[in-house]
Amino acid sequence: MNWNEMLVVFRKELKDLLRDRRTLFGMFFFPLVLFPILTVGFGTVEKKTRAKVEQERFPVMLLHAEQAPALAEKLRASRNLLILPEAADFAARINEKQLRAAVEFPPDFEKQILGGGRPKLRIHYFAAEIRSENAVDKIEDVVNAYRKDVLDARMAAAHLPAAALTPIETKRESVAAPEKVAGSKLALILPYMIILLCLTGAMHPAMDLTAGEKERGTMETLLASAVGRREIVAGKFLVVLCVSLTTTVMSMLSYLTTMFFAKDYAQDMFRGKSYSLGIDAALTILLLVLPLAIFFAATLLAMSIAAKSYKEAQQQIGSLMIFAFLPAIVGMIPGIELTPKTAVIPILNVSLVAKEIFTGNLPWPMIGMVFLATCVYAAFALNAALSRFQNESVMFRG
Amino acid sequence: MQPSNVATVYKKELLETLRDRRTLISSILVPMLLFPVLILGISVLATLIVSRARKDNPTVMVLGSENAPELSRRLEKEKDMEVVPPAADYARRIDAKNLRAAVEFPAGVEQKARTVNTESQTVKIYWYEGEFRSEGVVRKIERVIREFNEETVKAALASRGFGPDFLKPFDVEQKNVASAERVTGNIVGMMLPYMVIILCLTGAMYPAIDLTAGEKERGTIETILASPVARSELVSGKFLLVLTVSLGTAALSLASFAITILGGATLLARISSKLVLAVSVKAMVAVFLLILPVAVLFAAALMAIALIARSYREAQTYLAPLMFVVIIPAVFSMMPGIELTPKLAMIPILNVSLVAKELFAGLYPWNYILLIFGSTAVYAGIAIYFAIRQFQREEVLFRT
Repeated sequence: MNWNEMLVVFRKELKDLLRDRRTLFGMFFFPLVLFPILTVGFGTVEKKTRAKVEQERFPVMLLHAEQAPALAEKLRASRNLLILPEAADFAARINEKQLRAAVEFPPDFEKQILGGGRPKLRIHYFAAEIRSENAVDKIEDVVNAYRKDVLDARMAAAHLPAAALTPIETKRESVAAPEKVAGSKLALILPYMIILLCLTGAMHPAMDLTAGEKERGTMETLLASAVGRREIVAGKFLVVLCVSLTTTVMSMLSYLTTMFFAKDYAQDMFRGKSYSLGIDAALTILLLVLPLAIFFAATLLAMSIAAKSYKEAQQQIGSLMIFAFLPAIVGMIPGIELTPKTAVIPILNVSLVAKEIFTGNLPWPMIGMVFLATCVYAAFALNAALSRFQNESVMFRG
Repeated sequence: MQPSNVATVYKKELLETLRDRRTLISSILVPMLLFPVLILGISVLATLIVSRARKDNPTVMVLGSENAPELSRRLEKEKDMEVVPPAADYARRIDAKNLRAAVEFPAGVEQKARTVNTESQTVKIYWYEGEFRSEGVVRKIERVIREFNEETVKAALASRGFGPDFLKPFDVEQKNVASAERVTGNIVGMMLPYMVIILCLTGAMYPAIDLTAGEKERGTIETILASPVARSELVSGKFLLVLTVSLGTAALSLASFAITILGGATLLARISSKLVLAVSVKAMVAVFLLILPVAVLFAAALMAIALIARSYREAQTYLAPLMFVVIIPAVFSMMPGIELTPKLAMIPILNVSLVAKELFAGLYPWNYILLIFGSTAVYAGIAIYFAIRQFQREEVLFRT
């Protein structure tokens, strides 16, 4: 390998790319704008919807309220329920979302309870409709409080202390460091964005330097030059890697500054938890992204070299994008954690480790394993890219 | 404007588009495969996760088990969790996710619980707040203790001559009054409109670029402009084709969705056995009608922008950010709390996905539907006006 020759290729390709507005846009502008917009946008929406849910009064109907004066009184007093006058078409109104739920009391509901009977209360609602289910929750809160009152009265009548109903009370106490406690699921999207930007950042240069070159008809010229095939591949590969890593670094910087300056919005989005990073955590993520970026760059180069034109390369790679997104999405499913098995699945392992790091953990043995596994995949991808570049039947496919 | 000329342009562009593999993939294959793959994928994943979660049992530590022999025995017997020997570093282990929870029984807790007291005994459960598995195992511990409580109280009451109904003054029954069609509609209404709108955009994207910037790139735009077809006829023909592809994508995706739901009901039943599936054809047709002005808006806007570009690639650069402009309101509409208001009904794209949610839930708020159709039609009109103006400006057509 002739390092000087490789450097010449590298410089030429870099200059080519930096003159392309599209690269600059993807590398600097897009990551810089993405994180502030997402944080401010989602933060505002989270805050607004939460405030609205707290203040909301659900329209609810009581059927035969005269059968349960005490419970009806409690339901009327609830801050979150708006009791509408009784009507026969309650089911139709629930279906039309004008009414969220209806409570139906059986005949002599209260009398039966006082007499030791066991009547049945019915709550009519709209299954799977979020507000209807919220209204049912609010109604059940009131109903449970009423049940407790009835039980307390019964215990008093039987000359037993009320506490005898619950011999043992349980109390949850969180021992995880407060900053590790997961906030909104939404917040977990941001770490994945960094990994995805690492991939999308490499995409355009990888296609431009291979299929694009073919399309412009300059590939033959380049191959006929005095530079060896290996040096060309290495030079091109390094440029793609550079762009990919720059995109990643820019997006991390953007993330960190957003977390710093838009603190209020970030807290709304994360439900009061901070997902900012220490220097050590940020550097660890960069370290893990390095082999991943190599893997992406080499794979993309190997794939797009076979395409005849930029458009064709996009078509092939575009359909494969889903395979890159899928592990990231799987990583967001709550039950999936980092285990020795998941640590060897490419992309998924990095997104799982990133999740740990973003929530304040630094599991070193796993980090080492993920790093090694990704390095191995990267080496395979590099080797594949090199052998495809040396294969004329791939390079000059019909 | 002569309709026959428009038809000629349209036919020529249609032929060209149908010969392009890329258009065929993005407007026919992707919408047809997306829903089956998505639904199949989700159900397979769900089963996978459930079986996985069953396989590796979360660990729990019991501190002071000698203070509550019966409860400890019940915890040991509990399925799907593993009790590990007590250790002093439980808090650190929970923090490191090696241990999911620890329960601490204070001295004499069980003995005191069996006698009637004026005060309840407190048992602390240490956990990792907000962590999925920790939450699950804490719920199990709480259930075991609750069952123990109930039995103890029942025994105490029975010895005083009270029946089991003493503790249950009344029952509560929840009754769903919505039809299966509406319940399914409510669930699919969260995702489906968004998917259809996105597919409507991506379906229109390639033909819109190919028919404008692509034509410039291939150097055929001069030829077509020199032909005896008026500029307005040319725009109309091209526009109609982009619209056809966009609507075709939307229609295919809706059809594929309906088939998947009807055919894959058994698979979906795995996710939720309670779910009864039914899709309203009327709602589908109504959604499609509302998508119509959106498709017009997309087609016109995409063409107006793509025409500025000199090449296919440049056009893509300009249009990629547009994807985000479309995706963001669509994502907002998926948030559970958001419902239609007159203000939201004026925001393009968001309004259609919100009203589609209502339609799938079996509601037809006519005044909103008209307002949304009207406002989207106005936006579409503005976009068409711009597209026509762009085509009449030579400095845009021959930008170098």
